[in-house]
Amino acid sequence: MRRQSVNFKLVFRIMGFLLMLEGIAILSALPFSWYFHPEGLTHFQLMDGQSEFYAILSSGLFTFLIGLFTFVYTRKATKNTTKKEGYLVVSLSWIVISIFGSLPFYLSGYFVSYTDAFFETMSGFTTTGASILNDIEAVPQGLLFWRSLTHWIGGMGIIVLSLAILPLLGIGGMQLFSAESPGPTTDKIHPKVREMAKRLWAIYVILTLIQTGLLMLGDMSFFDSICHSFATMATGGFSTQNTSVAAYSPYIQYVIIVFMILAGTNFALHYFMLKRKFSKVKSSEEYQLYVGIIIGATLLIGLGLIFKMNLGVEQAFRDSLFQVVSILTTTGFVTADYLLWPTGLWMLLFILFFVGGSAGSTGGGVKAVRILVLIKNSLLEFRRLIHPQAIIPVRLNHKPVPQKIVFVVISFFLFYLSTFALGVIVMAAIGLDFESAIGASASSLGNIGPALGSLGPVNNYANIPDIGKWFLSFLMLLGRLEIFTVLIVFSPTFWRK
Amino acid sequence: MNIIIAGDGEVGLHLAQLLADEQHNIIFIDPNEELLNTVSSHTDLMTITGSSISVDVLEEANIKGADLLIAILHDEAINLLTAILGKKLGAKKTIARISNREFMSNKNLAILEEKGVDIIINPEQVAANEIVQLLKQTAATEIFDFSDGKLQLFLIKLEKYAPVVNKTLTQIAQEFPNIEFRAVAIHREGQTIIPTGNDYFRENDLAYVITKPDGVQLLLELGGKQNFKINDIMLIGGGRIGRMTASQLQHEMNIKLIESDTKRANALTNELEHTLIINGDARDMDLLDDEGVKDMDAFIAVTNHAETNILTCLHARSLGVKRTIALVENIEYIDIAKNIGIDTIINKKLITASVINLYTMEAKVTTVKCLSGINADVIELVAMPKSAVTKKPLKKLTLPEGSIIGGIIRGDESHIAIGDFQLEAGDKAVVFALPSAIHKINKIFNH
Repeated sequence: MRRQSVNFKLVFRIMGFLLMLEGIAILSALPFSWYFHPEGLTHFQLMDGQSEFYAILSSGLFTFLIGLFTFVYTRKATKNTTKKEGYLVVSLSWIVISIFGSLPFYLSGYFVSYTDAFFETMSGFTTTGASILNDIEAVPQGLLFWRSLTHWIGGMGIIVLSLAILPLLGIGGMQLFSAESPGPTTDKIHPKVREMAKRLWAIYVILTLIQTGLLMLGDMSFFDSICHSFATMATGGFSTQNTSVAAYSPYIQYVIIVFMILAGTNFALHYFMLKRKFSKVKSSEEYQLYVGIIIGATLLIGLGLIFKMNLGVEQAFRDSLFQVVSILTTTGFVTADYLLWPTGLWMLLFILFFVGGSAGSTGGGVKAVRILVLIKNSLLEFRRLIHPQAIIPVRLNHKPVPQKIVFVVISFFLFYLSTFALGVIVMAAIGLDFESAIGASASSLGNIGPALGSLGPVNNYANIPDIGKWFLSFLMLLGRLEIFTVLIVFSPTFWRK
Repeated sequence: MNIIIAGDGEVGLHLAQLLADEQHNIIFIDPNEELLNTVSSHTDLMTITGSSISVDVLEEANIKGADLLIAILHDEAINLLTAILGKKLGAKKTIARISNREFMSNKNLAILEEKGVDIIINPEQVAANEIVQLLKQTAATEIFDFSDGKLQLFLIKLEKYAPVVNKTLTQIAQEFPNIEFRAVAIHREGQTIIPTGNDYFRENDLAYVITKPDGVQLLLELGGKQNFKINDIMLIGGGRIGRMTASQLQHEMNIKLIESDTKRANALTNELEHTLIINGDARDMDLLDDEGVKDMDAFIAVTNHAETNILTCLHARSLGVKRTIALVENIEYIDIAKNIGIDTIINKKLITASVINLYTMEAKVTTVKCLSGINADVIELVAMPKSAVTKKPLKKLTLPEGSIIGGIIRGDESHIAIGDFQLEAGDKAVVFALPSAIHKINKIFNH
């Protein structure tokens, strides 16, 4: 049997290119380090937890140079690509940039081990927001900026990935959701991936800038505003405060709620909003479900908080809305410890762990549109039983969804649940209690952040054994890249001719 | 009139024969030589073997002298191209048959007209419209609208207990003085009678009645009929007619559409969101029973097989479905199908011929309907200034034998043609005529 030659040279060349960009991104944290922590400039010692300036500088330069070297070395790479290179590039790029992106954390010495640094970085790039930092406010701003920037870069990658690249590769029924009509006919915003990426990124950047401005109007410092905007638009969840967003005024909380909702919406819809094609936005069934879940869950939990926790109406609904939106969009900011709520209420939130944002957004999870297809398909089963010979397709936005895609969605969901179950078993075997194991697995796979039990909104992941951190990092990667993209690289068929 | 017909099969052939009988000069272009040989031996027309999109062929057919070019092949692209070429080469008027509904919009019609396609006809659309109308007026067997429904032609079958049975027209007129309709023809045992005052109505007669909208209720009462509302329909065949019918009705009625071709059935789900598409063979009686055929209000069979359509309709009929409509393309079958009890027959050839006939009349004609089952046409004619019909009131007018004026439309008003009414120039008259009378009646409407 002859092995199919995967075009590794090209894969490496792309990695090289990405590393060059990452190097530049790391260096962009230097001004913040210099401004907030000028004495660090005279401290040349790495890894002693005293200064981070040279940690950032050296890892930025190192990353850039490694990238440059790889890029130049592979300049003769042919452009022959198949889907295989596509899967490989997508999976590898998240791993490679996380490996290099963790260097500033590790070299600064503020992180205990490389495992911790890698976990934090992977959590950043996958827009999860799970942290191992016990005292965030003790970490210098230069590092915090890079930490928030990993979210923003990850979110940028995900938008293009989910709207332009994964549909081409046919992952998890993503054809359905690609761009324009989240329907089976995939007419895109713009025919060329590159042109489409530019437009989507423009929306992403503009929304981030608007949010930063609005946060600053609420008396948040420029640094905190930009870090929180990065984390919001990427539906990440890293905050610069130990108490997350609870540290800020209701105005700030409302601004963040609005932008979390926007970030969890299909970016193609934002594009149509700009183009004034409002009917497309209104008629999107996924959007209706997404908004419907937010309203429904907020009302239920809000009423629960009023009657069971004796909270004031405004605070009850603000807490409820913030937590619901934060979990549903898989952001993971917190303003209240939902584990202190009555069990029924946080169980409701836990169900949202599995829903996730809209497809084509920066949100993780199963995605609202898949849930929609699953629900519709299940309900149609009754009609199919009565009319065995009838052709009763699942319809999305009034268009029938091809049977094939429904199958892919079902198997995606099955893989998602099995991965979650496996995650629970592994985490429990490592020594977590039942609730924490369930929470950790669901939260990492859904790229959410806060979980249950000992990993709740006010806790962090610092106490998990190293092996557990590596495993959770892997779950984050699986969840972020729609499972199949990563698993296919490990499948025998991938390497067979 | 010099007419060139470009066809590729039965529809063109039927049309050619029909028009040749009405004393037009027909040149028939068809790529199929065998077919042409049989035609030319039967009918008085000239045939050319070849493609209608060849300029040489069109010139050989003397396109310059053609008054009308009719492109009626199955492929709409060829039809459109034929019409465009023909117009450029000198045909006075062009007609193209199309099957794509997209061309029906005014915007697209303008594009086609500018390119040289004067008239488009879409037989499937017309057939679907007829089905829709039949389902809304369930008491009648066939209905035709004239001038947007200001006058309607109903075909009703007289029931045993109908009040009019065994009475003459004169008797009926005395009993019901406020009558707003007029019987223009009776079809009995294969014969068509143009009734006079002394003719009797009999049980099981098929009566063609021209009526004003106000008269419908009384008409149905006298015919012993009741309208009933249709909610559940079973449609057999997902071809163009089935698809168009379903898309017009799916919001008002529950439709089950049975289509045997899996691919086509899947494609139907794209277009028909509110129709239940079933992939199966309608000849499988178990399938029909499982899907509850006996509870249907109407059963419509529009597959390409007349036999399937007739048989499934009979099955539905035997289970008590009140309304059955079958698409029957073999003209020979129509009488048989009617005799064994199927309500209504739809025939695309007749429909197409109806529409095209319109453009071959010398008088100003606005509508022509070829009736299925009997050999007669209903024409809407415009009375020209100084024409013979405008000179005397109706009762003193001598119409050609085998023709009768049913109603008149003057501006926005409609009148039933009785007694003292006198036509004026510009009035539209709905005339019922046997083929032998068509040209004579044409004459008295011209000056």
